[in-house]
Amino acid sequence: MGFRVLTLIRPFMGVIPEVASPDRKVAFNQKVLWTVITLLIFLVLSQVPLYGIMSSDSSDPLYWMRVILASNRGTLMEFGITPIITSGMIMQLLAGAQIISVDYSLREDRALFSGAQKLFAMLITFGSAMVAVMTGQYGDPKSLGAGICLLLIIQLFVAGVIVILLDEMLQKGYGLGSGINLFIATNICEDIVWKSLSPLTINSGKGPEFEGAIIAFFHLLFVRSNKFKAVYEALTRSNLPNLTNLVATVLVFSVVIYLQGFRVEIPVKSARFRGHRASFPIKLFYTSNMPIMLQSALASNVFMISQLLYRRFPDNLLVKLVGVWEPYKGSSQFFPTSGLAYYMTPPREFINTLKDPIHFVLYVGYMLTVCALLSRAWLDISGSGPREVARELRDQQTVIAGYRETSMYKELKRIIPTAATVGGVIIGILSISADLLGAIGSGTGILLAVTIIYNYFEAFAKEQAEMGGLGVAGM
Amino acid sequence: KQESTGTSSGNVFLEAPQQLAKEGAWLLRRCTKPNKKEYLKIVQAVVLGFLVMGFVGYFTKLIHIPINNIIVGGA
Repeated sequence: MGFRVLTLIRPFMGVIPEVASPDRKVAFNQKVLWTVITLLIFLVLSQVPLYGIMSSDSSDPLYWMRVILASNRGTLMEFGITPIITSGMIMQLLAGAQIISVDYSLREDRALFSGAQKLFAMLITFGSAMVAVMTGQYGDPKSLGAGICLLLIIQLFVAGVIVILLDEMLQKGYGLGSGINLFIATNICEDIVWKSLSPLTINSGKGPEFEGAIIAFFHLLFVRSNKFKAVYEALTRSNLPNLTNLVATVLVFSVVIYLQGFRVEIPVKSARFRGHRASFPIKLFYTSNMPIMLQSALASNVFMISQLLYRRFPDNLLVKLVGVWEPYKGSSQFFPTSGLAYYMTPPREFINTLKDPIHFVLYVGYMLTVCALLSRAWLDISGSGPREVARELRDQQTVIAGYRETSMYKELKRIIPTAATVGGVIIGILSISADLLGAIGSGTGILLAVTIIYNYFEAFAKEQAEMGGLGVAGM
Repeated sequence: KQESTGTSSGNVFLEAPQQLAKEGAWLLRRCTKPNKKEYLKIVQAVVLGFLVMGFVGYFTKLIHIPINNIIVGGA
């Protein structure tokens, strides 16, 4: 590229809505407040139904991405944080591949880049809104009428812009962490709490049953004459969440938390301050949950395309090889029953692993391989490979105790890539096990929730230490 | 430490996972594992965060059920 793409963005910068940076460092308590408010706004928006929808019974093409997108179907938050993530990912890729040249050390370049990201996210919101409405997601556009269609698009667009601004607000220092993580984690936790305590009742022929597993447990105990049968049903009913799901969830949580604490402690010392000893931890989950998120995004895109193709050309052999879709027992949601897409989805219940062992084996092979590869690749994409870390340590004049500066890189090279690959594989295993056990929130979801909450906890502790330190020094 | 450069058994699909398993075992042994005290501390933090986020979302959803009924019922 001869000229810089970023210069194209400059005229738009004045038009894009922007959150002003705080002029002073925001107090910790205030940050918590802002974060909570932002969360509430997001949650309320996720519950407000879109005005003018005719039908939400059709199969949801975005079903597979709901967890990582923090989005709720049929509400203002239809796209959740998708636009921000998609825009971010693509822009990062473009910048990394040098298609767009960005000089991160120049303040103006950084501003232009983030402005471009925002603009792109808004475009994606608008585009997605149009596609969703026009392809009949909310009902046939002809029967909706042009007015309602336009109204739907505007609603989705405005909601999307609000999310973008909320995220920016948190990132500019008004709140803790990033909006994206907050929204994802909250949605997952809420999903689990809801599936345990939902007061909604569903009538499926045996009389009204409560959706929430815990509530249903007490209800069944109360209502059924055979108490043993009541407990059994509370533990194993398959059409609604049951207690075994809950137990599995708790189990997966515990295991993930335990593994999160695994780290290789590298003793380091500073060349500047003699005698200053510290430890540089390299977590087992070095790439955190990126492999899973990337895998989810990849799989969802494949599924979306496969579903579209199958709906249009259900008899084409090539299309069928990619995926054959049918509604899953009882619900209107489509699931793949054969083809490439089939082997990319987890077996729904434990029994199915025995019924179709090839599916299980291929799925496990696919997941573990993809997770390992993505994890390894992420090191280069995100710039957290051994070379970059060694350089950072050198800049801070820190060396590994007992090693010379030059061999620091070699030692890191032994540990970091292995941690990334092994961590990725373990994350894959965890995700598969969680799905098999029937844990609520899916393996991916629980992993995300734990890592995000854990990161918040670390950030919390750091901020408090900083604030506390500053307070003392200021006196 | 010698790296295995050739595929002596000739099958890449078996070699790579084996190598990975060996490296993985080495890494896991080298890792510091959280001891009971650390573990409980993290569990407490995560449970707290989970409860806060879970219930905030739960109550928002709960409150919205009747509100939504009013909105949609009236429209």
